[in-house]
Amino acid sequence: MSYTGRHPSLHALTPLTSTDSSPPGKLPSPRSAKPSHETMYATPHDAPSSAIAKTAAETITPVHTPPEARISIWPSDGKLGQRLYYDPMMDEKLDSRARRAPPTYKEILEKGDPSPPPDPRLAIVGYTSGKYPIKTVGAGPPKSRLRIAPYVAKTYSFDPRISCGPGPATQVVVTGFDPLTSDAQLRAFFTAYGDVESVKNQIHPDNGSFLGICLVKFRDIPASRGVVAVKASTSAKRAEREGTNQRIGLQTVKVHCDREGRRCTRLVNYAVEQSRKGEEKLRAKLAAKSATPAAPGTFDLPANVPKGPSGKGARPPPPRETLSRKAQLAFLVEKEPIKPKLKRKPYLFIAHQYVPVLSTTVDHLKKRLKNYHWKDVRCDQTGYYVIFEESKRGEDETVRCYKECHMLALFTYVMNMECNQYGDPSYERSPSPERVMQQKRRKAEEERIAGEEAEDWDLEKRQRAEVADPVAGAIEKLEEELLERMISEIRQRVAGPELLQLMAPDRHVAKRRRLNIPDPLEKQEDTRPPAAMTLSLDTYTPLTPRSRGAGFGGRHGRKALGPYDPNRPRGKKSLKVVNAFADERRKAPPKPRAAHSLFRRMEELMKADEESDDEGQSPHTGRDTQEQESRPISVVESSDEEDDEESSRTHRAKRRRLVAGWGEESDDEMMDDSHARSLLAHCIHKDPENMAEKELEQVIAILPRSSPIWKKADKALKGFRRLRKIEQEADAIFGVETPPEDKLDPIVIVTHEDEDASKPIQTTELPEPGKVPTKKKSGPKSKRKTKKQLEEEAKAAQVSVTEITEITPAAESVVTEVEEPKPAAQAPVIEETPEEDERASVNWGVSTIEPRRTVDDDFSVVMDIDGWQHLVKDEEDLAHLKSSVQHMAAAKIGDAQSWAWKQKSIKHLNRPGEEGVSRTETKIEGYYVPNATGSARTEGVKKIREAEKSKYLPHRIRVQKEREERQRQAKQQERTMTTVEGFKFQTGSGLKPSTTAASRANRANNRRLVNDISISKNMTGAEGDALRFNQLKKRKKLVKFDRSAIHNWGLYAQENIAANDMIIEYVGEQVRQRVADLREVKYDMQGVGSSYLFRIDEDTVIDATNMGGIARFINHSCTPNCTAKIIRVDGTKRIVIYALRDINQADEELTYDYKFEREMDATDRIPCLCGSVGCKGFLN
Amino acid sequence: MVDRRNSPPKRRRDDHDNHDDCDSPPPKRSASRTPPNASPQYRLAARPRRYSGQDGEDSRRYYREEPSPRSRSQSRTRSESRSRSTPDRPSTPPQRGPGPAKPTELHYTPTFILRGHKKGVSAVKFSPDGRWIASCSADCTIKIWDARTGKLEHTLEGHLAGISTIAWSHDSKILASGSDDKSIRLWDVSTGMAHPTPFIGHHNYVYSIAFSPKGNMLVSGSYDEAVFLWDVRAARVMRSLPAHSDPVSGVDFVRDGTLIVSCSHDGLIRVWDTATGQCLRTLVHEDNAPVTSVIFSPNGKYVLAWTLDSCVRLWNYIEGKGKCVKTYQGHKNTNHSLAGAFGTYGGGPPPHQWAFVASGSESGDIVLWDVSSKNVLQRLSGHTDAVLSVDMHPTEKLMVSGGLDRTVRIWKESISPPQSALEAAAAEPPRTNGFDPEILPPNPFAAA
Repeated sequence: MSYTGRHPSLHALTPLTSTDSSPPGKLPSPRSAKPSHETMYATPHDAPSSAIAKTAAETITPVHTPPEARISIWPSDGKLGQRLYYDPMMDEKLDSRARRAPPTYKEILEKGDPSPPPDPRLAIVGYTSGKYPIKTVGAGPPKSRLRIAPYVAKTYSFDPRISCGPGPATQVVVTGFDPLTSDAQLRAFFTAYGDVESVKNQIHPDNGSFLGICLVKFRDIPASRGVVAVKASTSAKRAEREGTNQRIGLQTVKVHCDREGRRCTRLVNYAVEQSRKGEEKLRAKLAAKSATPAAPGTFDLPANVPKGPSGKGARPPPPRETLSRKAQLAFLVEKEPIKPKLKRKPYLFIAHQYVPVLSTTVDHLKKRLKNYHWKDVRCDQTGYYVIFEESKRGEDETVRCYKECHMLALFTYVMNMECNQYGDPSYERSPSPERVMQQKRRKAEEERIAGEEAEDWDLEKRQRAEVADPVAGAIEKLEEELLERMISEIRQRVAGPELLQLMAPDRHVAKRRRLNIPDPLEKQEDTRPPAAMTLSLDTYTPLTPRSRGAGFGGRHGRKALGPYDPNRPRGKKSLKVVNAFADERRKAPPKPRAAHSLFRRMEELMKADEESDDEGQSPHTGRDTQEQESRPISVVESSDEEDDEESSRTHRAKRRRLVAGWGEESDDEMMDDSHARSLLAHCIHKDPENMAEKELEQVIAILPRSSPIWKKADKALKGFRRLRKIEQEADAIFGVETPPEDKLDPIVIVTHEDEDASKPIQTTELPEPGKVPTKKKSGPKSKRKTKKQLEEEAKAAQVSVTEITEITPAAESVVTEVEEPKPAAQAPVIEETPEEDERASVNWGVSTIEPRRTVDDDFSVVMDIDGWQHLVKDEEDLAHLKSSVQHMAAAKIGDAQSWAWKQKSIKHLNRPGEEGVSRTETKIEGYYVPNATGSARTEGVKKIREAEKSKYLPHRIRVQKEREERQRQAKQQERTMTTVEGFKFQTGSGLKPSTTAASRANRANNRRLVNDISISKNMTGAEGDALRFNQLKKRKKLVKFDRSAIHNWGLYAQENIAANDMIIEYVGEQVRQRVADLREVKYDMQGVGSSYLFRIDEDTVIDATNMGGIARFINHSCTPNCTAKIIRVDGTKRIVIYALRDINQADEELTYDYKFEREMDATDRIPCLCGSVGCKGFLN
Repeated sequence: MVDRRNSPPKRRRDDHDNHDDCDSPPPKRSASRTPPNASPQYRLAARPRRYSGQDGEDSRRYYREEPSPRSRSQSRTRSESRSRSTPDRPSTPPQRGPGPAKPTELHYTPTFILRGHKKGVSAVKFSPDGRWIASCSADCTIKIWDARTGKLEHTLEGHLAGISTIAWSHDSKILASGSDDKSIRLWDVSTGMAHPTPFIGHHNYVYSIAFSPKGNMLVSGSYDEAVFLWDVRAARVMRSLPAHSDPVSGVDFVRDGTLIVSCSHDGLIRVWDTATGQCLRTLVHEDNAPVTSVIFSPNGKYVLAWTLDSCVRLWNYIEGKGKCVKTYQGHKNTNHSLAGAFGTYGGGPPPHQWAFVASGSESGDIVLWDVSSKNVLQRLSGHTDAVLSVDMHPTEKLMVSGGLDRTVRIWKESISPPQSALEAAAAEPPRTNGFDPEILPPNPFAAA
C-alpha cells in the first residue's frame, strides 16, 4: 500500500515492509499532539483518546506495556476523497431545471500505481530545449517563442564567498579496482583529471586489508603563468564523467562524486559488514565442519576479495530469497531484555507500541538512521534500541538523532523515541573492588590524621594550661617585639653605619686595584629592595630568641592566645602553620633576583631606614609594619578564612587601582557620596595608604563606614598608630627624649588600640608635634604663605593697581596684566593643603619665628614677558629693574604693546594650553640643530653623516634603544653571573629551549619531507626541478625588511630562529667576474650606493642589484648573528644565510660579516655602522 | 635685460623643435618629425593657474580650443618653413597663420623690490587667486604682500625656527608653512593669526610642503627622510611614505590630487598614489645627483625636477618606467635647493600661448626657458645672491622671486621691445616698499 506522491520520503523507504508493517487488523500507531506531526495524516475518528491526550513529554512508555491498538494513517476503506466529475450547474447547455440535478462525484480510490501522469507538455516537440516552433499563420518566422516551462536557466555556480552550504563535491569515491592497487597508481590515474590532494584508500578496520574503495580528493589549481585555474570540483566532475568504466590495472572502475565522503563511508560499512558476515558464516561453517565434516562447501571468499569484475562489489546484492527473509532475520529479535545490558551506553529507545517489533524492521531502522553514527540497532520484545558509542561523541550523536528523528515517520508508524544519552537511567554502577579498597585506605588515613591532630591538640591544651595565661602570653609577646625592635635598632643605627663605613668602596680602592676588581658601578635606576638583607636585618626570625620558632613549640603555636574555634575545618587546614604575631607577608619574602654588591645593598637599606624613621612609609620597613600592625590581633585570631579573603580582596583592589585610580575604583560602591568627595577633593587622587594621618582621619570622619575607602583608610590609620606605638616604645627603651605628653603607657596603648579596633570610626586626634613639621618640610611646595601674608599681598596688589597711573606706560601693561589675577590664583593653592589650615588655627597671628620675605623669588621661572610680569610686582620693582638695565642699549621693538603681544602669542602658540609663567624655556623639543643661515632651505644641501642621522631618524633611535637595552641586560646578566660564582647558570633565556625544540621539530619535519619526496620520486619515477628547488625554499624562514639602523634597509626575523638554521637564500643574477666588474663600475657611476654583488667563486658573482631576493638587504655587522655559506644544491652553488646563534623574533636585525678584504691604508674605506661592541670601524 | 653674451652652454635649439606651438609633450629629438597627432594632445602650458577654483572650466576651454587637424597641418608647414629660415634672426617670425607668432624672448622687468625679511627668503608663492604674495624666510617670519601694490599686509610670526617652505590652500585663505622647528603651521591669511594646533610629527626640519587641490590634505617632506600625508582637518598624519634615504627635498600634488611626487637628496624622484600610498614610479637619473625640488607640470603629465648638477629636468613619468624628456641648463645650481615654476607666454589666445620654465640661479639670475625648445628666453638679473624661489602669477604676466639677498622682487612682463624696456627700467628704478629690515623687532624665540 504505497501512496505515491504523498510522502516521497516514506515511499523511498518502504519497498519491502509496507505490506506487512501495518496489518489491517491492527490499530494504527498513536498520534502525538505535536505540531511537527503534520506530515502524517490525521485520523481522528478512530484514534484512541488516551493516545491523543499524551503530550510529547509523556511519550516515554513503560518498558513492558503490551502492544496497544495501532492507528493507521490512511483511511481504512481505501477512499481518499471524492472528485467532482460533472456539475450540471456549470453546464450552459442545460436549462435551469436540468441544472438542479445533483453533480456527479467519483471517489478517489487509492491505487497501487506509483507513477504520476506524465507531463503532457513534454510531448511537445522541442519543448525542453526551447526550440519549439510556434506555428504562425503566415509564412514568416514566428513572432514569439513559447517560453518553456522548466525554464532553462543556468544554475548558479557555487561561490565560496556568497553561497551557503557546502560547495560542490571535490572528492570522488572509486570502487571496483583491484584492492591491491597502490596509492601511487591511483594517484597517477586521477592526476589526469586534476590536482590530487589526497588519496585515501579505505582499509578494513578489522584486519587492515584494502577494501578496493578509495576516496580521492582534488584540489584547486590556482592560476599562474601559463596555467589556467582549475577548480577542484571541476576536476572531480571530470573524474566522475571520464573516469567511470576506465581501467585501473585490469579492472574497470566506477567513479562517483562524493561530496562529504558519506557514500564512501556507506560503501565501506557495507563492505565491512559483508566481510564480517562472510567471516561469521565461515566460522559457523568451520564449527559445523568440525561437527559434521561432510558439510557441502559453499563457496566462500576472504573478506577483501573484490566482489566482481565490474565493480559491482560495492553494491548490495539483491536479496535472493525475499520470502524467507523474515525468518532469516528472526534472530534479530532478542529473547532476553537488552536494557539491563546497556549500562552506560547511550541509546534511543523506540517502544513497541509505536513501532511493532519485527525482525525486518531493524534493517529499515538502520537505514532510516543511516545519517547518524549509531553503533548498533537491536530489538527485543519491548522495542528497539538504537545504541550509540559510549563516549561524548556518542552522547552528542544520540541527542542529535533524537532531536532530528523524534516523532518522525517510519513507514506508517511514528518513531516515538526515548532518549537516554547517558545510558540506562536505572543502571547503578557497582564500585569496583580496587576503588573500594582505595576508599577504605583513604578513610583510614584521614582517621589516622584526625586522631593525631586531636592528640596534638590535647597535648597543647595541657601545655597551655600549664604555661599560658593570656596576660602572660601577651606580655611575653610584647617583650619579644621590643627585643626585636631593639636588635633591629642596634643594627640599623649602630652596626649598620659602622659596617657601611667599613665597606665604603673608596676605602678599598687600593685593595681592589690589587685584586684587579672593577670599581663598583654608579647607582642605577634599578633599586630593587635588597631582599636578602631586608630579610636578615629586618627584625624577626633567626636571631630573636623567642620568636616564631621558639614560641610554644609544636605545630599549633598559633593557638596560644586564641579561643578554640570549633568551626575551623581541621583536616584540611592543619598543615598550614600560622603565627598570629607574624605577618603573612613576611613569610614569603621576595626572592632576591639580582645580586648586588654588599655595600650597595647596605647603603640602600640604610637610606631606606632613614626615611622610614620619619614617615614609616619606606618601601621596606614602612609598608610591612603598617599593614601588619593594622590588623587587630583578635581578628587575625578568630577568623582566618575571612581574613584571607579580605587580604585577597585588598590585593585585587590594589591591582585595579593601578588601572583605574581611586575615584573610578570606588564608583560602584560610593553611589551617593559626592558630597564626601567634594569634601575630600584634595586627597581624592591619593591612595589611602599614601595619605597623611590627618587626611586619613578626615577621610574616616567624612566617608560612610561601608565605603571601601573608609576601610582602607581605617586600616592605614591603624597602621600609623601602631607604628607610632612601636616608635614610642622603642624610644622609651632607648631613652630617646620625646615630649612627655607623647609618652604613653604601653598598656594604655594596647587598650586604646583595642578600642580603635572595636569602633574604628573614632577620630580622636593624637597630638604628634614630632611628625607634622617633618612632613611639612618634605612637602614639595616651596612657597607658602600664611593667611596674613596673603592679605598683605592682596593689599599690595591693590596698591599697585591703584598707583598704576604713575608708572611708565611701557611697564603699565606689564603690571596690570599680572597683578590682579595673582592673589586669586594663589589663594586656592594654599587652601588646598589642609595642614595649612590647622596650622593657621594654632598660630593665628604674627609669626614669631623670624621675618620672612614677602615674595619668594622663584629662579626657575623663565624670564620671558610672563616671567617679567611675574617678577615685577610694583613700582619699586620696576624702578630696580630699570636701574639694572640702564646701561644696556634699547632694542628697536617698534610698538612695545604690539611687540609684547606678539611675543606672548608666539609663546602661546608654542606652548598650547599653558598659562602664566613658564619654568622651561620655550624651545624646540627633541633633536634640533639650528642652521647657520636660519633655515634649512637657505642653508643649502649638505651631506648628512650617518652618525648624525642616527640622532633623529625614528627607526634608528628605536633600534638604538633596543640595542642599548639589550646590551645593558647582557651586562647585567654578566654581572650576576660573576657574582654568583660557581653557579654559572643562564638567566633570561627561557625562550631558548623552546626555540631549539621547535627547530628540532622543524628539522625532523624537513627530514620527513625529504623522505617523502624521495619515496614519491621512486614511485613516480620522475621528479621535477621544482621539487629540488623547493627543498631549499621550504626551509626559508619568515623574514621581513624594514628600515635599519645600520644602513638604509635591513632584514629582520619574523619568527624565532635557532642557531644553525637556514634563514634565506641570497638570490640574484649569476654573472661572470668580468661582467660583475663592469657592473660595479656602472653602479658606482650611477651612485647606487649599496653594492649587492656577492662572490660565489673565482668567476661567479651573484648580482642582486637589479633583480634579487630580499636577502640582499642584510647588512654587515662586525659581530653578526648570521653567516653566509656557499652550499651545493644539485650541482649549483648557492649562497645561503644561516643563523649563527639563536635569533629572537623582532629582536634585532639580521646581519652577517661581509668579509671584505682588509684595506688598511686605502683612502676609500667603508665605515662600519653596525655599532656593535666589537665593531672594527670599517668594512674593508 | 636679456643677456646675450652669456649664451647657454648647450647649442641653441632651432625652432623647428616646437613645431606645434606649445602643444606638448616635447618630442624626442629623433621623433621631431613625426606628425604631432601621434602624441597626446594636452598642452603643457595650457593651464595658467594652478589649483584655482575654476579648474574644470579652464580645462574645458582648453579642450574645446584644441587645434583642429587643419590648423595642425598648417602649423607643421609653418614650422618647416621656419626651420629653413635662419635661427639667428629672432625677430622675423613668419607671418602666416592667425594670431601672433611665438616670441623668442621675454621681457620681464622688475617692478617692486620688497624688503623686510631679515634673513634669506626661502620661498615665495603667489596665492591662487593672485592677490597675495607670501614669502617665508629664515628669520622665522612669513610675510604676506599685496601682489599689485607690494604693500606688506601681514607678518606671521609663531615659528621658533627658520621657515623653509610655504603652501597656499586653493581658496587663498589658508597658508601653510613648514619650519625648522619640525612643525607645520596653518595661518589664516585674512587675520594673520596662526591656527592653534600645529602639525607635529616630523623628526627634523620640515623642508617642503604642498596642499592637495581640495585642501583637505597636505603633504610634507622633511629632513627625517619621511613624506607625511596630513589630514588637515584633524592635524594628524594620515600616512607616512617611507622611501627616501636622505632628506626629502620636494613634494608636490598633481592637479587632481591623486598623485604625489617626492624627491630626495638621494637622487630619487618617486611618484606616489595618494589613496593607497603605493610608490608608482621611481625616476632616477643615471648621475644620481641630489634632487632638490620637484613640481608637477600644470597639466599633470610631467614632473620638473631640479638637481644639483645645474640641471632642471622634465620627466615624463607616465611612459614606460619614466624618462627624462628635457634638460634645461644655463643656470648655476650646485648647493642650494632652488625652486621654480611654469609660466606661459605669448599674447594670443591659448593656441598661441607657450610655456616656459622659470628658475632661479645661484648666481642671482632668474632664467626662463621655453619648455619645448629649451632655449633661454630671458635671463633676469637683479638679485645679489642666490635666487631660491620663483613663482608665477596664476593669471597675469607677473613673476615673483626671493633669494638669499633677503629681498622679494616682483617682475612684470612689458610688451614693449627690450630696448625701451631697458630704458624704462633705467628711467624708473623699481619701487621698493620702503621697509628697513633692521627696524623690525627681533624674535627672541628664534634659535640663533
